[in-house]
Amino acid sequence: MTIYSFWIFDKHCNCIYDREWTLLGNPKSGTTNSKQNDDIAKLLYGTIFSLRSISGKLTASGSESANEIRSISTGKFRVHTYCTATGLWFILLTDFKPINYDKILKHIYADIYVKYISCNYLSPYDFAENESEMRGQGVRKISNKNFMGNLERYLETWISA
Amino acid sequence: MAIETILIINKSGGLIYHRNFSESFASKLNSNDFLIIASTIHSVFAIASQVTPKALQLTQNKVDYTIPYIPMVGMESSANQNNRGNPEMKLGSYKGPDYFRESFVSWNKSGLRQLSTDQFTMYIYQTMTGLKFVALSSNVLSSHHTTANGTVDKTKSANLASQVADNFLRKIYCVYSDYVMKDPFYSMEMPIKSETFDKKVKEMVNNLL
Amino acid sequence: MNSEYDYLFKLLLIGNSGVGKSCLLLRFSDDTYSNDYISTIGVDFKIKTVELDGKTVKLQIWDTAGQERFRTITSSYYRGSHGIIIVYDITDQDSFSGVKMWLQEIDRYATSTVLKLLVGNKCDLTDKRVVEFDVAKEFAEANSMPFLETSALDSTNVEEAFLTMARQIKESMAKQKLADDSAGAGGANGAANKNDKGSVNLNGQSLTGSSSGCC
Repeated sequence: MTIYSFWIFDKHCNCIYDREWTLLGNPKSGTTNSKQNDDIAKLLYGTIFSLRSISGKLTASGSESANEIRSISTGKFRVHTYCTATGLWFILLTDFKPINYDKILKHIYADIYVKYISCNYLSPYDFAENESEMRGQGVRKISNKNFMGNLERYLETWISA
Repeated sequence: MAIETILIINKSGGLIYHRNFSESFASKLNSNDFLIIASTIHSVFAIASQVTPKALQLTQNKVDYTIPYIPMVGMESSANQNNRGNPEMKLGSYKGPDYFRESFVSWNKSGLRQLSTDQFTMYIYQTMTGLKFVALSSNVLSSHHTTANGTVDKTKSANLASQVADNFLRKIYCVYSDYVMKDPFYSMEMPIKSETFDKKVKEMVNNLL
Repeated sequence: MNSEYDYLFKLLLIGNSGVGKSCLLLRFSDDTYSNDYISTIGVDFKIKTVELDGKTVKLQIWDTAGQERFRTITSSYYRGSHGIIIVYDITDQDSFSGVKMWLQEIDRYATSTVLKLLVGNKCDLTDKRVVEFDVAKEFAEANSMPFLETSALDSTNVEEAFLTMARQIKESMAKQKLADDSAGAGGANGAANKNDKGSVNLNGQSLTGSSSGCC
């Protein structure tokens, strides 16, 4: 199992964090919050958004819970998604093997994001400060050192594997 | 593998065949909804290849796209098969006992291939000419009950499911070639009206259960 | 089985962003659809069911986004379209100049037999008009495509144009089928027919030196 990149989208369709490892097996390589990834982020968002709406339509009759997507795969890689009730999306791009990353994504949300971003008074409550930064027009990204450090350390084991 | 729905999407993204085998997933949807679903799949298919991670673009490591042949997927059980005779595949027709007998290379290399959700798994098989065969299965990937450091066996069974799906959809492609493409009244890229084709697909889905 | 319709036609709606492509069809389509898709995957779908000669025809309109980010993707949406509608804004000279660029895209990505239609939108804003009717009309004739002006307030002539287009597509499909059949029979007539039908369009711009270079 190999991890290629990690993304967080907020409820305004903005990418608030992106991390891509460009060299296989090297956890120190790659980019964080790269401007070059802006368009990729938008396309990734579009892919997940439209497939989510398909899965929302194709819900088994009698089922109470929403039909959330778990993973999307191409012949080359797999996209794992975890959507929180607050409208955050945690996305991992990995190799195409059908392995479940739910626990990893949940851990990143509950033990890293909530701890260093949500419960942090210095972190903005909303990454879009006004109307013009919503609907995918946002510019602000997560830059908290603790968050980034802990995330790196947590994911390192799967990257060097 | 329980198949709920089969869709065939032509190379320009139009839905040309659609059949639900149970009411559970489609009860609220009309034909327009399915047209939109099909075209959305077609569009996302094109976009998915654009988000390929840089690490993969840089290394160009060779992925093996060969799908192993799995015997008799969607066919009648082998006991009945012996009575039919003619075990040799006829030249120029797919009407051999099992349509094909060799492993094959998937043409769907960078496009959308599988979508797994809480309630279903969707498999997409693309032909060389850009035709897409989509199967919606109510079986949820078993790997979703394991963790990342879970057992290898579960991964294998999820892999097997997608191989079975590829074999099955390729076989539907064979049936399509026999009953739709050889139909003199069929207009290209238009909705499939052949009842024989519909019957064959239904048989194959039932055999898969 | 989807026995609800006999034909499915793909119509493509293109034009610079902000010319009001989506508004054009609001009342035309079967249902009202949300416009969420267009900003995320560069395309939205609208469907109109019509009856032609006793056959049910679904017109599926692919409403594409004009943004640059989707340029490589929207080009793949041209594939297999039966008709293309190019929209510009009569109060915006740039959008009219853009039509030329869109025509080049059509030459490059669509089949040569595709039907085209030029639509000047927002003709209710006469005081802000910058693109004269005659100029546009002449341009459309030079490129052998029908032309009309419309507004969101009254879009009946657009609907009429769409239905005409659907009828033409159906007729050309019937002709194509006849040509194929006679060619299959091996008649000399069939071969002659085939020649003028399946010819390759050489008017397209050459690929070298075009803006869509690969690097």
